[in-house]
Amino acid sequence: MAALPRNCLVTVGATVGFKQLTEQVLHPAFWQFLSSEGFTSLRIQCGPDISWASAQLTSLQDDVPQGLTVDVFESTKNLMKDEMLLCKASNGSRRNGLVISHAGTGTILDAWKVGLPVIVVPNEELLDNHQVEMAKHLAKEGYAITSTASYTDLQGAIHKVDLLWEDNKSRWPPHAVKPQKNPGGLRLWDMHPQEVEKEEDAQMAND
Amino acid sequence: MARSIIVFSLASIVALGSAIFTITSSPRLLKRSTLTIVASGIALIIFASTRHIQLLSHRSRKRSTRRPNPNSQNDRIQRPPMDYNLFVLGSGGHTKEMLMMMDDGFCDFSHFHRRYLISSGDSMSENHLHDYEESLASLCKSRETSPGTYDKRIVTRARRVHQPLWSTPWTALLSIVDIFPALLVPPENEVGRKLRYPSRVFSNGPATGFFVALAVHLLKMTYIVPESCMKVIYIESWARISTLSLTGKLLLYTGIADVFVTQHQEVAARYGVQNAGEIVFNSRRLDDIEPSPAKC
Repeated sequence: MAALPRNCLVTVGATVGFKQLTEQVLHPAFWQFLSSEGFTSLRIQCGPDISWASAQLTSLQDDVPQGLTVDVFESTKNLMKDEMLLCKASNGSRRNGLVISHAGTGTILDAWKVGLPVIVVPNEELLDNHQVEMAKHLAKEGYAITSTASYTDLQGAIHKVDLLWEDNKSRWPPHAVKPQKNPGGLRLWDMHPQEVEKEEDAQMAND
Repeated sequence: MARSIIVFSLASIVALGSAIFTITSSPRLLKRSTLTIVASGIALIIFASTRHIQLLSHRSRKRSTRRPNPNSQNDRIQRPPMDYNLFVLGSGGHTKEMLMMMDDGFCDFSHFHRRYLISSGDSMSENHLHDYEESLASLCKSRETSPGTYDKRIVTRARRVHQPLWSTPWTALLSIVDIFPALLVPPENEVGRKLRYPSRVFSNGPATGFFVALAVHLLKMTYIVPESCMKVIYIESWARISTLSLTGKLLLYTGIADVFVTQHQEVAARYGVQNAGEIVFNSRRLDDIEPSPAKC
C-alpha cells in the first residue's frame, strides 16, 4: 500500500522572521529524518527571509529525499485555512501532520482549533517578548512540545509530540460534551458584573 | 444625591458660560469675571471627581464576574429576552481570541444584537469576523435557533503596533471621536428600537479597548447613559501569562471596568484580580464543527 500523504508545516510569523529556525529546517539531515517518519511534504513559511530561503532550497534541491517535497513561501492571508488544513488527517487520504511554530499565540490557537500536534520553538533573540514564557506555559499545560531551533532537538521533539498527541486525545476528545472543557472556568456569555449589595452581604457573612 | 449633583454641575456650567460672555463683551470687568471662571472651573472639577468616585463606588470592589448558580439545573445565568452587546476587536491576535471565546457553542441568540468595533485598515479582523458569523449562522441553523443580528463599526485605530507612545494621544483622540457614535447610535433593527444602548461592552486588550471604556465612563459621568447599561467586561488576553498588558493596567488602575478577569492564575494573583481560566479554549474546534470520524 502506498503511504498516505503526511504534511509538516513550519511557520515563523509574518513580520519578524526567524532565520535560525528556517536554516535548521532547510537542513538535508532534517529532511531525511522527516522522510523516515513518513512525512511526504514540508512547507516552510519564512516571512522576510524568503529570498534567502528559496536560494538555499534551490542549491540543495539534489539533497531532497525521494518522496518528500520541500516548499518555501513568504506568508499567506489565512494560515489556518490555506496551510494548516493540509496537515489535518483526512479520512483515508491523509495522515495527521504536524506544525512547527514560533511561539506566536495566533498560530498556536489556530493549531489547537484545527487539532494538530504542535512543536513550539521560542525565538530567544526577541527581547521583551513573551515567547519563552508562552512556550514554557504551553509545555507545562501539555498543549505543545517545546524545542530549540536545532534540527537534532526538533527530531526528538517530533518523537515526543506523537506521544503527547495520544495523551491529549483523551483530554480533549472531539465532540466533548459541552459546555465546560476547563472545569471551573467561565464562559464569555455568562460574564456579568456582580451586584454590589450581594458582595457586601457575603463579606459580612464571612467576617 | 444624583439630582443635586446635576443641579450643581449645571449651575457651574452656566456660571462659566456667563463669565466668558462677560469677558468677551466688556474687557473692563475682566478681573471679576476671571474670578467667576476660576470658581466655576473649580466647581466643575469637584463635580467631575465626585461623579467619578460615585460611579466607582457603585461597582463591586473586586471587579469579579458573577458565578452561575451551582444549584441551578442548566448552570447558566439567564440571559434577558432581548439583548445588545458590543465587542471591541483589536488587531488580528486579539480578534482571534475574542472570537474563540465567543464561539463556545452558545446559540441562543434570538433578539440578540452584536455590534463589533473594528479598527480602520484591519481587514484581517474583518475576515475572521466574517468566518465567525458564518459558522455561527450554520450552527444556529442546525440547532434551529436564531443567530440574532450583527453590525460593524469602523473606528480610527487608537495605537498601531509599535507606534511611539508620544504620538498615541493624537490618534487616540481621533479614535474617541469615532467611538462615541458607535456607542450611542442604536442598531437599525427591532432590538435597536427597544434597547438604546448595549448592555455589555467586551474587550480583551487592544488599546482601543481602553478608550472605549473611557468613553463609556465619560458618558456615564455626564448622565447621558444610565449606569445600568454598557457594563465594561474586560478579559485580559490569553497571551498575558505573568503581567497585564498596558490596556489591562490602565483599566485596573483607573477602575473603570465593571468586570476585570485574566486567563492565567499567575497574572491574576500578581494583581489581585479574578482568574477566569483559559476561556479561549471554550472554543469549538474543527472536529466539533465538521465531524470527521475516521483517524489514521
